[in-house]
Amino acid sequence: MSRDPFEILEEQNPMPDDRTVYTPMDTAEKIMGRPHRRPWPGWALAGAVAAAVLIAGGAWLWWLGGDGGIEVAGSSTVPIAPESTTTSESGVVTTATTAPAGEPIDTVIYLYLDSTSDPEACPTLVPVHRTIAADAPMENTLAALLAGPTEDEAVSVPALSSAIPQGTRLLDIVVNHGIATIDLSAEFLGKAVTGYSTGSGTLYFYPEETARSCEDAAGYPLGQVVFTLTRLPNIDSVVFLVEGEAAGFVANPDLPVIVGSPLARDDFEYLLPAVMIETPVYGGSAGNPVVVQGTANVFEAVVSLALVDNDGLILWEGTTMASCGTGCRGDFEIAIPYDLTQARLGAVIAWEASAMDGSQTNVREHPVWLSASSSTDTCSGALAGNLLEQPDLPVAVADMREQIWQAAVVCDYDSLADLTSPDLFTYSFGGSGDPAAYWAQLEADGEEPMRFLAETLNLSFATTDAGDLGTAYVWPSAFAYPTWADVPQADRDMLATLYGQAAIGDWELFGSFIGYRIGITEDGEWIYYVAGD
Amino acid sequence: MTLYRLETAAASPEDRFRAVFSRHYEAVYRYAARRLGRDDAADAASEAFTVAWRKVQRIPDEPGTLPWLYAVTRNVVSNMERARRRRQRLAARASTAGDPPTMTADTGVIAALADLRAEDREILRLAAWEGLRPAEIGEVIGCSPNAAAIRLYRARRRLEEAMNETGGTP
Repeated sequence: MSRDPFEILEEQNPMPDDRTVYTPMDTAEKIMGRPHRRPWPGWALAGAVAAAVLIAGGAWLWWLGGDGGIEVAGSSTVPIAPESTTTSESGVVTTATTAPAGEPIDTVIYLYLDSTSDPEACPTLVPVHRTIAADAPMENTLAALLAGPTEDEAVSVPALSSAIPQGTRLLDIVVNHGIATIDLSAEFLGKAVTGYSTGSGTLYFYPEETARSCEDAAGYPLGQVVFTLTRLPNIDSVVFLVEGEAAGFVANPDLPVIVGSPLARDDFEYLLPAVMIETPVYGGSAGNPVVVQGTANVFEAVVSLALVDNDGLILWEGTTMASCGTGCRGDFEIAIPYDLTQARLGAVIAWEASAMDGSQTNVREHPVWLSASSSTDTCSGALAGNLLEQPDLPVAVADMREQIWQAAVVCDYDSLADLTSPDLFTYSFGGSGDPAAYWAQLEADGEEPMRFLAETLNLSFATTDAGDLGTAYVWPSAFAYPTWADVPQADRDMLATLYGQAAIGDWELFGSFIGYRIGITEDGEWIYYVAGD
Repeated sequence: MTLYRLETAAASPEDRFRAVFSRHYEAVYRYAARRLGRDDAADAASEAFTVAWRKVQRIPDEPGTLPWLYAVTRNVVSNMERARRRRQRLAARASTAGDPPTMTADTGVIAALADLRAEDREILRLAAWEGLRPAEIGEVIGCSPNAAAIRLYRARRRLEEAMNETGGTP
C-alpha cells in the first residue's frame, strides 16, 4: 500500500470546511422559544402608521429615494420636485421640506450590521429606516444618525451598531454645489488621536485599537456620515470639520493625508458588504412589486434574491445580474411582485451563491414591511361607502349580506368563496372553477367587481321566487322587474350613479337590467353574484 | 464605538446561546452532514442546539465548547441513524435508499471505514474530517486524551487492515 488510508480518508471528507454554511440565527431564536429578536416593534409601528396615513389619503411624500427620488409608500420612485431646494444669494443650496412642519417623514441613516454567517467578519454599512420631523430633513436625518441604533436594534441578531461616538453633536452643515460641509463636535474624534497639527490646525483621525483587524477602522464613522448625507438630494460628497477646523483622516500615519477634500461614497467601498441592498431599506416599507436595488461585487455578477414573509415562507426567489461582477462592484435593480392578501412583516434577502457548491454566502437580509398584492392594494371594494341598514331583511339574509360586504370591501376573495353556496352558486355564465380566482382576475383587469358587489348591496332589494330554495332576496330590485320599462325612476337613478348613463341606455335597449345582481335565499344561502345575460 | 460585540461573563443565557450558535453552527452542521448527508444535517444541527439550549448552563467555555457540542450532536446523529435504519428495514425493498448520500462514493477507504466498529469509525472521522486532536476526541467520546490517542492509533491500524481485506486500492 503506497499511501496511508487515513490520509485518503481526510481527502474523502464529504463536507470540507471550505464549503460555506449559512448560520440561520432565526433557528437559534426558535430554539429559545422566542420570536427572532429583530428590531421590529418600533419600525413596524412606523410602517403601519405610514401605511394608514396613505390609505387615509395622506398626500405627504415619503421623502427619500435612492438616487434623487422620493419614495411614495407602496409605490415606486417619483422625481423630487425642484422646489425642494432653495438657493440663497451666496449660492448656498440648502434642502427645504415639501411636507408641513411637524408631520413625520421617512428618512434613511447608515449604520453597521453584523454578519450573520461569520462572527469574525467586520460589520458593514446598512441603510436603516427612520422617521423624523419634516421641518429640517437634513438636520433631523443627521440627528437620527448621531443617535445611533435603537435599543432593540442594538441587541437584535444580527445587531445594528454605530461607529460614531456617543455625544457627538452637529454644529453646522452647509451644502454648496453638491458638497456638504459638516461641522461636528469634538466627540466625533472618539479615541482617535487629536490635537495633532500640521500647522494649519488640522485634526486627524487615527485608527483605534480594535478587537479585530477591521480594515481602516478610522473610516467607519466617516463612512456612515458620507453614505447618509449622499443619499439626500443634492449632496454628492462631504467635507468634515471638527469644532470648526478642517479634519482629515488617516488609516495609517505614514499615508499621505488629503485635508479638507470632499469624501464620496467611492472612498468607502471597503465598508460595504459583497451584496448591498440600498432599497428597500432595513426596517422600511416595500411596495408591491418591491423594487430591490443595490450594488454587488459577486461571482459572475449574479445576485440571488428571495422575499420571505415573517414565517419564513418564500414569496419569491430568483436572481438578477449586477452591471459588473467577479472583482468589481456593479449596480442591480429588480422589481419583485408578490402575492399577499394583507400587509405584514417580511424580509428581502440577497446573497451570492457560492461558486463552489451554490450555498448562500455573503447574505444580506433586510426586514421590511411588505405590502398587500396590488390587486388588494387597490381593492375597488374600498371605494364603496358604508353598509346601509336594511331593517326589513330576515336575520339570516342580513347576516350573509353583512359578511359579503365586509369581505368585498377588502377584496377578501377566499372568505367570499367560503360564503358562496356550494353547488348552487353562480358567478359567471360560461365560466367554471374558482370564483375567488375569477374575481381576483377581474379586479386585476380593472373591472371593479368588489366595488359593484359592495355597492349593489346598498341598493334597494326585492324578493323573488327561487323554487325549492323558497324566497330569494335580490339586489338590486331592478333585476326583479320583468322589463326595464317597469323599473321605477328612483332605481334607475341609483343605478346610473353606479354604472353611468351609458349602461342605462344599454339596458333600455336590451329590455331588462343585466348588470351585477346578488341573490341570497331566505335561509341565508348566497346563490349568485353575476352580471350579463 | 460599539462595533464589536464581546462576550462578557455577565452575558445572559440567551446571549450566550446566541454566541455559541453563531460561532459553532457551521461546524455542527458539517459534522452532521458528514454522517447523515446534507438533507438531514440541518435537522440534526437544530436538534443538537435544542439540547444545548436546555443545558445552556453546562456548556463548557472555549475551547471546550465545540467538542462538547460534537458529543451532543453525536448522540443526535446516532438517534437519527437508528431511526433511519428502522425506516430502511420497514422499506427493505427500497434498498438503494439505504446509504447516507455522503457515503455513496464507494471508494476503497469509505468501504473499509464502513466495515469498522462504530467507535473506530467515529474516532477516525473526528480526526480526519473534524480535524480534532486526541484531547478533543477524548472530550467528544468521553475518555482521557491518552486513551483517545491510543484508540485513534488502533483505529488507524484497523482501517489499514480493512482496506487490505476489502481489496481497496488507495
